[in-house]
Amino acid sequence: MNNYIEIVKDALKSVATEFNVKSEKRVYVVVPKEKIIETAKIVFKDLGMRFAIASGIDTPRAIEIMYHFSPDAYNMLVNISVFINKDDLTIDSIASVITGAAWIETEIREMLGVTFNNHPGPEKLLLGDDWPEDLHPLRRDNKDTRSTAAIRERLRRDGLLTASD
Amino acid sequence: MNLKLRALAKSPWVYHLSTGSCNNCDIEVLDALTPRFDIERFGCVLVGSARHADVLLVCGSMNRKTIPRVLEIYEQCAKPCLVVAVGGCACSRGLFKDSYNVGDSLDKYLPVHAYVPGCPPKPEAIILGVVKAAEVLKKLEKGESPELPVVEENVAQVSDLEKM
Amino acid sequence: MSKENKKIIPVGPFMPLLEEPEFFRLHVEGETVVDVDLDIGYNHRGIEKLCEEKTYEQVCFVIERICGICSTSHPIAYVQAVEDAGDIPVPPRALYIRTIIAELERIHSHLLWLGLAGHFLGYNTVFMWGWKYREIICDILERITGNRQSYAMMKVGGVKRNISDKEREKAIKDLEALIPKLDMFLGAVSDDPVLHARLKGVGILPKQAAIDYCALGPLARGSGLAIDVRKDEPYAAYSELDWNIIVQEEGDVFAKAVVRVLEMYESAKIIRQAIENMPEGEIDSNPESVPAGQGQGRAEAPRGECFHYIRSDGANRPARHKARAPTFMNLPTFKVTMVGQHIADACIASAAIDPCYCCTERVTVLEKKTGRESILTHKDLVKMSQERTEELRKKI
Repeated sequence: MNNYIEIVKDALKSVATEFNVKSEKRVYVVVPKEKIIETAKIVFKDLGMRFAIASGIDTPRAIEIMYHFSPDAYNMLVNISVFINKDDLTIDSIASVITGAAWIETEIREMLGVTFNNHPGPEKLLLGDDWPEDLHPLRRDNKDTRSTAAIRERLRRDGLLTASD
Repeated sequence: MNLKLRALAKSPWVYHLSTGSCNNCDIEVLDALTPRFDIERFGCVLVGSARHADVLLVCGSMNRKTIPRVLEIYEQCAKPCLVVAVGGCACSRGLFKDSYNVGDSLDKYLPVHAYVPGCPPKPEAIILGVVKAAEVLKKLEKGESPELPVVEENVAQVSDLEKM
Repeated sequence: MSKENKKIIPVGPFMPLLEEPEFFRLHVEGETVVDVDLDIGYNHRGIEKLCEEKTYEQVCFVIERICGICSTSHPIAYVQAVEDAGDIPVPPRALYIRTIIAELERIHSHLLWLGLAGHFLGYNTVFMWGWKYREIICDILERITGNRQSYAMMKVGGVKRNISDKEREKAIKDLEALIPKLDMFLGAVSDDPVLHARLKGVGILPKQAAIDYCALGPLARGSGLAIDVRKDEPYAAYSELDWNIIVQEEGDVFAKAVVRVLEMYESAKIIRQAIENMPEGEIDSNPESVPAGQGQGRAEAPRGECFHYIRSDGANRPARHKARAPTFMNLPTFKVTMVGQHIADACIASAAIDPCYCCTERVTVLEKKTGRESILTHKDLVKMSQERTEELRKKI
């Protein structure tokens, strides 16, 4: 187990700015967003890990995307985070490396407003065609999305929801 | 008209529709068809098209995108068509009532003739709901105009607790 | 290829007789599927946003309802994520109870799938039998947990209800009665030549595609990928019990059906061992609160890995909760498994992934040569599938 963590650390040394071993089952890595495609290639193609999902998290100055990878034979998860500053909410799509990542990138775009460069689509996944472009439900820095009640109020104001509660 | 209603009250044709659900209620509706619960002994048949339906079984938490479709289907149903709300979500949107992607509760869009609460309600309860809806039809046949059930707000207030 | 020249057929046969929201769109040339579009927004209930406003206990009830049939796998994955974030211990008896509930759910989910697959293929007896024997499992679950589906059994630090000795004995008796019935499904799948003709070579997901799309569950195991969270990151009591992971190589619908049938036997084996070896003791470690931190939890649902991520800031509610159902990763594989298929196989090829949310609406068919649009109902597609079985039966 520890041997494998060393292998991962070594493979990621050209991209990782932080490498934290919380336990033998949980490793947390930080890479700069510019290196995400290179990181995806190392982890998915070279090391053969499976991409489980990515979690987008709104934090005050940046959107964090944590990509969760599972090396299935090693009883652990490798979590790789990028921080995308809010003044430039773009990052490269890794769908060219991992086909299965396309949908979660669409979801993160809809929920958090991150733009993925060279994204193969789909454009929309979860929210309707009439959903306002600037309304990203999982953002907390926007008064319209700070709670579900606030989102419903905004939809009501936009004429997209007739319910009174 | 009376002949039609009489025939109707004996063998309601049921059309099921989901407005965005976890599928629990949908499976229990389908279960009602299986040998153990056997909704067909009441003459109930699950039909594949809304145009043939006498009873609309609606599940799901009223996803915004499905609401126009629900209204469209109700228009297609031959009248009289009774609506049965199956499951907590259809009765009142259940625990999804605060979600940003659900509309209003079903009874704000369509007249609901029977509520079957539960999460999910057991197939026996669903069959009872359909039978109760069919009883509404009997009333219509007799020329009585049945009142739609009114769901009363739970009247207990915090102030009542303080008095205790 | 211009859009005007293709037929478009939206489909989504999760429930054969029911009409649920949304929907796939099949692009067809003649009778062959050439492309698939998916629209799943009709079932988006904003659960992650809802969970930000609920306490850790309340979140359990919400995510149980992400999917009714995987209704215990999501809570197991979620409570494990919280326990990972807070280093919260779980008593051994609770781990065994979690295993029993999870495996009972696996059997009833696979029986449900077999019943539906039977219906699509025109074997209505299989549908009725599958759902009838499923009732045995639903009864066991109702006795233990109080509900046939959505059991509300899981909590952070353990489980909510114990299993009495009487319930354990009854559960074993009922399981013993069920096993011979499973043999019927095994026989049907191995011996029926018409089934072989309908299912073999249909809806193939090649192993590399399964890797690229990050496929999960029986879909992946039917394509030769030996992945199963119960072996890869053992949770609950799985590492203490003797059972096998089931893998088939061909990647077609037949392989996936075999995986599901054989998994039911393994599940029965696991349940029996768990019931017999269940340790005494507490069922709940009663944690006071969840400290700040982050964690991931995963569980092998009948459809594949459920993945939950929790970030905690020490409050009584999660700061961020990401929930991912297995179908989210499996659905895009339609681009591979449905393309090149005959339209009559569209039903069964799509059912092979055992989708959790997708359903049917109208089916729009856009004629390739003339550009004329016509409407088929979903029932027509099921009928096409059933008719194809009939044709094959006459030939064989």
